[in-house]
Amino acid sequence: MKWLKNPKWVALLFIMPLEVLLNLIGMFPFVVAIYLSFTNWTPVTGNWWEASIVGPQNYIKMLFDANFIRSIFLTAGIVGFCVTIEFLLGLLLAFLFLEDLLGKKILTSLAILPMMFIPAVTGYVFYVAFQSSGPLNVTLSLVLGTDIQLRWLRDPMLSFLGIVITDVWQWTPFMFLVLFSGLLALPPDPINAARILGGSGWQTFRDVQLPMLKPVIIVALLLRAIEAFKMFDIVYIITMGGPGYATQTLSLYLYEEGFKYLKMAYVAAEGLAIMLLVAIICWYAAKPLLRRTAA
Amino acid sequence: MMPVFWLVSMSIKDPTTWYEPSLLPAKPTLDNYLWLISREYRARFSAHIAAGVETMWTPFINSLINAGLGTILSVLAGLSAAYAMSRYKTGGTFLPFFILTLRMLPPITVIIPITVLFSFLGLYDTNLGMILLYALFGLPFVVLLMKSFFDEIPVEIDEAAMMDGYSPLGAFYKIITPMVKPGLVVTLLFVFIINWSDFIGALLLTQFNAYTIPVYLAKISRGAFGTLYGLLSALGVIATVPLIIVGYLIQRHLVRGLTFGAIKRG
Amino acid sequence: MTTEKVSRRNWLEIAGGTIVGLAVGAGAATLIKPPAVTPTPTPCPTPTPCPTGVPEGIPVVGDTATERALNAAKEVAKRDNVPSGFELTVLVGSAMAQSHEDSRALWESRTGVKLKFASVPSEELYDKAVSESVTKTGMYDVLHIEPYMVGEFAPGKLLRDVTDWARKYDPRLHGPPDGYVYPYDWQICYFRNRVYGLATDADTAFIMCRKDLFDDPKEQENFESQYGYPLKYPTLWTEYRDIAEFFHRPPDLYGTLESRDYWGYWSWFMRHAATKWPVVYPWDDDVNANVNNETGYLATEQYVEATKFMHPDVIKLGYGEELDIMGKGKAAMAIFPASAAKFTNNPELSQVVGKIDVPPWVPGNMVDTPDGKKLLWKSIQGGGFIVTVSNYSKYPELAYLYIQFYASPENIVTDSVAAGSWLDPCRYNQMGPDADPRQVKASGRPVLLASPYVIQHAVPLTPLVASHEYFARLQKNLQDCIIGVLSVQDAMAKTEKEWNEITDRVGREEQKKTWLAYKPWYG
Repeated sequence: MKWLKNPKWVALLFIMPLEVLLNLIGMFPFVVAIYLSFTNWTPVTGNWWEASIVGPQNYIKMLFDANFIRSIFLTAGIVGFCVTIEFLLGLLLAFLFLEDLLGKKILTSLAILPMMFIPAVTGYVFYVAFQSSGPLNVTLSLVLGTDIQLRWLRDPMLSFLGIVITDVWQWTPFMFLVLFSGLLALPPDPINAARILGGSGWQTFRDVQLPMLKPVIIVALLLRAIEAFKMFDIVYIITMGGPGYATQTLSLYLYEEGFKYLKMAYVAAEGLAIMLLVAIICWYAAKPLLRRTAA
Repeated sequence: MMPVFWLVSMSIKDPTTWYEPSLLPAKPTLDNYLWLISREYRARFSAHIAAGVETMWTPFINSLINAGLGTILSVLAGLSAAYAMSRYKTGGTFLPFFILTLRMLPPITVIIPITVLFSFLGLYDTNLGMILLYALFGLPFVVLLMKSFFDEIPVEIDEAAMMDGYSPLGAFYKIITPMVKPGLVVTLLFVFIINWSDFIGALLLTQFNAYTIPVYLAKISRGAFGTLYGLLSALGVIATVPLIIVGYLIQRHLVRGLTFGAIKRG
Repeated sequence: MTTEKVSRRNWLEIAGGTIVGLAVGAGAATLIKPPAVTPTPTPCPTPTPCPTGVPEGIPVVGDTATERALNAAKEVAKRDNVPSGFELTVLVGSAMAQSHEDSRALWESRTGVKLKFASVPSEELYDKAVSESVTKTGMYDVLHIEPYMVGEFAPGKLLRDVTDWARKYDPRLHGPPDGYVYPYDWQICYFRNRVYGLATDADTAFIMCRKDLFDDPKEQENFESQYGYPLKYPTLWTEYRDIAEFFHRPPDLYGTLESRDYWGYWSWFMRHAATKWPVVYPWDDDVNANVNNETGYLATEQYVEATKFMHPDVIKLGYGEELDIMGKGKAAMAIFPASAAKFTNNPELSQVVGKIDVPPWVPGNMVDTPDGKKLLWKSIQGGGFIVTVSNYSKYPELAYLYIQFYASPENIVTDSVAAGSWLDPCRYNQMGPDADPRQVKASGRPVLLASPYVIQHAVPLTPLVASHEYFARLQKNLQDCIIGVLSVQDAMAKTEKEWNEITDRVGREEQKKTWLAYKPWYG
């Protein structure tokens, strides 16, 4: 790789300034968060730079905090469901759109429309939809012929399902687009070769394109999972973590603890711990990504 | 598609029918939109929300500026970084991952320190501050997505281009980047959407000058007697228009990266 | 070509970058210092007219609170050399911004001080205030916040103690004909016996009944034959339950409406406080939770039982949705704050104008007393708004005079009837038979006539530190109880445990001080 040495400096040179600038803005809050996580600071007890370090109490406390642990598992569950469904649906759509469909441009626009909604707006729309006499129950009644009066907002299971439905509706287009553009960027030769050798559309897809698509797939899953983990607006508006604690996702929990109960130091510790946890999981999941796939 | 229909139908509902979860508005009206556009048409809503509330133009333009320029900035910063990471292993395996961890941090954890930093730097309530913030938020997306798209392209194509006389930089600009154009425009769209929808950052870091649509949405959602569904749906519809436009424009580029004579192998 | 190992060089790059970042961060941290907190002023000297033209203290001139505030503000602006471009900034929820706008003309013309209103989405008011309490920028002079926040921000030094100025300028805090209705004055404006702001709104819960349904002879006949006593506005929670059951005819008519979302704890406290003579406190004197016992169980049972006769989505319905249900005539009773009357009284918004009656009581319980069985009923004072002065303001006395002006008896009616405003009557001149006509026009007579009585029986939902957390935990456990995840006893036991944890975390001694200061006003 020695011949790459010179261009490397050029590359570093023109990425560095911007990267440094942006990372400086990112570093300060990060450092402060680490510092705070070892204190007992709340906005009520005084200045944050005068907060005294009390050691790793917060980290120990969070291991025994039932609400925290529950919200992690709950969020992991929601993310698991959402990302899986979104991936499968998105892959299907991407496969279908590879062909030359009639009105493809319009269809593509429609397909990616849900993503364009501000999440708060999506939240309100689905909040109305999930009411007992709301459009969703009405539609289900029409379709199934009997009077459906599901209490989406009152039943813990249905609330959970409702959140999953909303997130899938809003973010499947993301998966679709990433996978689709990944498919488009694949070099055509292996694909053409496989076609010539007699593979069907589906076989080609499965055996040739999917493996080459692996880096994109992994990135799409990672990014979507990380974003879904931070899901906030939807849950806030539709269920507000309710009923009881049924949909108390992590970001809602952190928001309440941090902004409503003012346990800022504790939230800082929890946030960092989450980051560490997610990072470790992603590191192992993404190892194949970081290995370059040879053609 | 139903929710889209519901949103549009909520946005043309008359205030007295807002809370009726019916599919079709009984008394369709454009009053919700008119309320947002100008202070002239607000008489009907005066019991719910004061006529003196701002119109939607300031937050709309701010959103365009903050999210748009922030996105462009992060793409500029991230694109070359992604290429360098893909081809030259800059930062090894650690740096791309480290950048990703920026996104893993729940925003609640850091938003207060960011507020402190911004007021110290004088960036509070400025468009510049928000642009920088959004550029920072978008960077991990750009770097990772583009890196994976670059990774798809075998390095032999770079080599072939350089053998054809292109410098490494030229190969980057003229050959490789166009090949990942679909990925590039898609990344652009996503980062734009993410920045467009940001709420907590805009809430705490702006007040009069640089506040964006999500904050404005929260302001007009609550009236004297509950949620103003008509207004917020109308704003929701309007807010999707720029995104739809961008989405439509990028479709031109969602074509196979083949069409300009890619180097044939073997 | 595996990249499993990160080369040393790369580690150095990362380490170097991190160190640089940390150094910059640490350096920036040491440089960031907020403006020093202005010390509390020494008590004002006795106000006398200035003899020589060089004022020692600002004279107090004016017969009404408004006049005193406006006159003094002009003098203070001169004394403190307030520059002409200065804008007194008010942090306010978007729904209340118009009420300040309506007062702007009067203030600016009389005092010459410009105003600026920083409106934030009403639900995010608390977040913005927290942010300000951390960054201490001083960009807000006046904070129009909710009383439960005072428990956090007063000890947190965001709010200024204005007792001395209140004593000097007399904002008409106490007593008829235009002071704050007792006990609002003590419950809202005071924190640990010092004045921290002036109330502009108070949310006392009323019961509102559909007169036409209750007066219908057929309904009366049916009810009496079913339940054995005549149909009337409920005075007992048991009657309330029976009537709700009787009128519960979904989907066209629901028995009753209460909040069961975040604000659901209001009606729980109404029941809890009235379970034993003379009143049941949520804590004992050591701030130990007082809920895991028969009074707590009874209140919870009544609470859960009543939920059966409400709209099925009530667990998430917000105020607006419930008002709409009432306004369309779909509920026979409801427990609402006074602002609901503004809605039901408005022909443009509701279809039940003139059909709503507000009895001057809320349901209660028959309890044992030393003198035999008596009826005990309690309402709650839950929300409300208070204008306060920020400790980081550049001209705090001017800010105080603005809040005195804004919340003065003359001006407060303007605030309450402003478009989109959430402000309810809290002064004597806003309610009762002699209420200001503008108020009557907006709110309708029934609730204004009922107000003085119900308010007297209202227990304040106390602004202890972390009050938000106490109530949120209770409310979530109640929701779990409604959906059947927890039994009544478990819900109360869990609440007790969580409350005690909160108290210990915040500091029991501190909470005791605040609680004991409030206890006299708790019914």
